[in-house]
Amino acid sequence: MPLSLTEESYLNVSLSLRPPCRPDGRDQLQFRPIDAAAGILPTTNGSARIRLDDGGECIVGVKAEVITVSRSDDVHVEVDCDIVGLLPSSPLQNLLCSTLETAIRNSLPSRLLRITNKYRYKIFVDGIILDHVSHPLTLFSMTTYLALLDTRLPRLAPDSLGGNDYDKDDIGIPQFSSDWADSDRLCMSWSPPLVQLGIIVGKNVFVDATGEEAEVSDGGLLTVWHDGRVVGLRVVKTRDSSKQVFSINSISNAVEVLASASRDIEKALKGIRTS
Amino acid sequence: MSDADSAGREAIDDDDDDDDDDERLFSLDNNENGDGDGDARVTGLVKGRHIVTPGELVTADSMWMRGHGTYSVGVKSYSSVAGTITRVNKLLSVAPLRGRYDPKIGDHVIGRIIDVGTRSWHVDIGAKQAAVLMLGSVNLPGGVQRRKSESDELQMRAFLKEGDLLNAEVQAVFTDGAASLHTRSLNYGKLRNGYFFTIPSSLVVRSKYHTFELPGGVDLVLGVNGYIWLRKHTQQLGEQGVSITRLAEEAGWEIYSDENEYISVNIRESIARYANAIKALEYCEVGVNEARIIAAYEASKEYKSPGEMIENYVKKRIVKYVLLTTKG
Repeated sequence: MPLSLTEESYLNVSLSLRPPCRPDGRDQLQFRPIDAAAGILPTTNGSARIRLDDGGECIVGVKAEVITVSRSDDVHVEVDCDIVGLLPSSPLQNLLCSTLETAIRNSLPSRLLRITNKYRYKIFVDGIILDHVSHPLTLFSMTTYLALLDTRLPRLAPDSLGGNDYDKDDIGIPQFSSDWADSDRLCMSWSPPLVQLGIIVGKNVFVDATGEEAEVSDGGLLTVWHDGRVVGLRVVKTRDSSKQVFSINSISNAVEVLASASRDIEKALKGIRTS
Repeated sequence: MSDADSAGREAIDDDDDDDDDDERLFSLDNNENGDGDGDARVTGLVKGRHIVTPGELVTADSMWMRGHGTYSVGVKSYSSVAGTITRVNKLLSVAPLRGRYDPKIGDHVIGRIIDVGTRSWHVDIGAKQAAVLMLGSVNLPGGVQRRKSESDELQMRAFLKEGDLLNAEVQAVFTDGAASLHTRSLNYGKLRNGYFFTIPSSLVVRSKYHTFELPGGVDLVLGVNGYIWLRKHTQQLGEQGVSITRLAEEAGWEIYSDENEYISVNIRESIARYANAIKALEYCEVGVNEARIIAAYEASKEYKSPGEMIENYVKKRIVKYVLLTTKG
């Protein structure tokens, strides 16, 4: 539903003010309350669900599959997501999947997925966005982050010979411990990437934008946050007449703002896992 | 529900919990004498457990007429929606708790143009069907008495185009439930200088007026359909001391203007605060009326930034205060 011209101008002026005045009075970096839970799907290696205040909801499950090491260039992570109400392979779905897949693939060292010289894990991240009113990218990324934090990979069972050295035996098929508690967290030494979408209006940047805020924005910028720094960014279209080119100043300002938002989000999500 | 299912349910009901059913009927059958005492008793009982869910037995007594939100199997009436039982004399109906807005003649609503047709606009008012706004039901620049000409038909988009918001009154409701609107008063027309959002229409308390001047330099249009417009307070045309007869001539093109006036930061913040106050009432499922909105706004001043009001515990606190300080 398009906004009327007067609504659009009201919102645009409000958001361009310095300091800006968002229609719900939030700060530029303030998120709406979210409801998050981890480990909700018992048949997955890790899962999470996040519900937003506006009714947006996303569920992500992580499955690990054992594959043989065949070629060195084989992908070790696959991300897929369904958006209820949109056809498969819609531009939005492609954006979500490709962004997350690239981010995780680039940051996840394949040695973490090694089982033996012959076998290793392949990670499948599958998400479903049950509803979204605002842009679902941040929602999907946060849920994926939480699901990956929750992910546990089973340990190898000591074989009958008493050793744990499958590598010496070339034909050894790995036997996993039947005890689910006997598993390792995927994220012991690795922390998943977090993708953050900000919208740019004039000189201001906003996180967790509502649909109407995105509708009046100049454009969007997504940043990939990993290991305490921004490792990637991309300009995103937030509406049909979105700008595709921004000045270096507004980009660097936006990156700074989004980095600080990502830092807070990461901290909050890690708190959920431990509680 | 298919007929077979209904029959099956009937059979089950007859089998084992027929007696039970009779007790679940709020003893409506006690009211056979129909005198004042009997009425009071029935109302009391209905109030005692007045929420029903779909498929729940409302009454097994054939004396009641079945209204909206009910269906019947044999002589028994069941609820077809989740809602409250309302009764007018012998007519029992169930008013749904949630659901689309049901237009009634005289309702002050806010709508958004979704389509420009021949001599009429289609307007989204949150009802089951789009409402119709006829070209003949709007004030055109140059006076009420002016004849509509072909050139008006050709430039309908210059008055109202897709996406435009307007407030209007429901002039008529067709047999299929679609509404016909009119804006033939200077209280109605295109909306500007403000911010739009929606709440469920069931939360809007109907009252004599639906336009309010609120403290803080903000005007509120509380559409009965749950569409809400908060705007900067401006002198309406009728308030400028122009006589009613001259109003028509005064109403020029500015009533269809797409330009906002200058709106100060303070007013923008007040609008955000009011919007959050109304959303807090919505969050707590409390009916929205003028007194409560103002009370919630006053309560929210405890929080320096309106942004703090998006937290759910703050919403609950504010509404608790509102319910303590306002009546009804």
